[in-house]
Amino acid sequence: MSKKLRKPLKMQVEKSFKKKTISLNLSNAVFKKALVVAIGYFIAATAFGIYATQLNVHWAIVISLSIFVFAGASQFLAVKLMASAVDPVSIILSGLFLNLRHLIYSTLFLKDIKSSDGKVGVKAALLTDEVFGLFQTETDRSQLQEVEVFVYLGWIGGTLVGVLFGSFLPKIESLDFVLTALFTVLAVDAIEELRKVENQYFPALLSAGIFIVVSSIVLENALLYSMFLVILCLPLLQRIKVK
Amino acid sequence: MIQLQWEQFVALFGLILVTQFSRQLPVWIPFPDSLLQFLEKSKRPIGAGIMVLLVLYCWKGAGSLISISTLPRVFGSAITAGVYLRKRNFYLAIIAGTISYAVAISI
Repeated sequence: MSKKLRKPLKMQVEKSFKKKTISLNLSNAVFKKALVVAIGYFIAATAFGIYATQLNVHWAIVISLSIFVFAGASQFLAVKLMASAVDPVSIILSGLFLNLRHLIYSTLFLKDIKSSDGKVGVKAALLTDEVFGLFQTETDRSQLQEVEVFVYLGWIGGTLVGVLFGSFLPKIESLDFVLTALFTVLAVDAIEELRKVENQYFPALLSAGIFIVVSSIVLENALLYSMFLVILCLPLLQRIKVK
Repeated sequence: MIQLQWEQFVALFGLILVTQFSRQLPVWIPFPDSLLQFLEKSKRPIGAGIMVLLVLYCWKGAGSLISISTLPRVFGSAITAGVYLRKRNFYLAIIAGTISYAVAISI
């Protein structure tokens, strides 16, 4: 390994925040991992910006989603539902159900979020699936905030590029499928984890059954009703099964 | 010129609230152990269930779930899942699935 690589790589990206500064000071190993996540975020956010712009969602909404929500899957879903003129309550509830897993992430990282390194509010606000995954196996999580801010900048940058180019590019019909592909990968992951830990496919099959029945009965808000039923039925059935 | 609609503002504001609520809540209000245990037990089945719902919702689109128009989406998803299971590469799977979908709808 060269001397250059052994030296801790210092990045100073200073951002004003309540008259104090947040500085990025990442060690080499963490920086390498964070860079992969940031590049991935940049590409995904560019696709999000193009997708949202081509769905005719206002650029201010698209950029605000990336700045304040910073949750890829719910952002993709939100712009799709907004473009389909779905009522705001359904969009908000879909986002809530989709992001409930963050409760677990924040809870599991509670000690690190509350530690003296960095700002508690910022560390909790920017905790995403990938950052959680990156630090889950790390024992030293003192650089949590630096990594979060770094990948967050990648996401914002990607969104800006996407919004800028989305209006110039001709409409790409197949780009609509990116959301389906994203959910397919997340579903495969979730089902695999369920099979490994609990050795069952039942919740996935039950959800599919619920959606098929609900969508054939009600034409509007089938997703919302199905989500309610899944959230109600699954823990109940799990409890019955355990007993 | 795209117009800003008040419904989009409401949805945006609500989405910010619920997302940040889910991230910030455990930090400011400690959960009782029983609730944490319940969340820990339920996160996998509910997570998998919600993801399946979202995939089916995307397949359905504006039409019916069981129709010929869903076939390219199902095909694209199958390719996405196949590539992901084989290569374990998130971005490669999404690109492969999207290209397959583009080919399928052109046919």
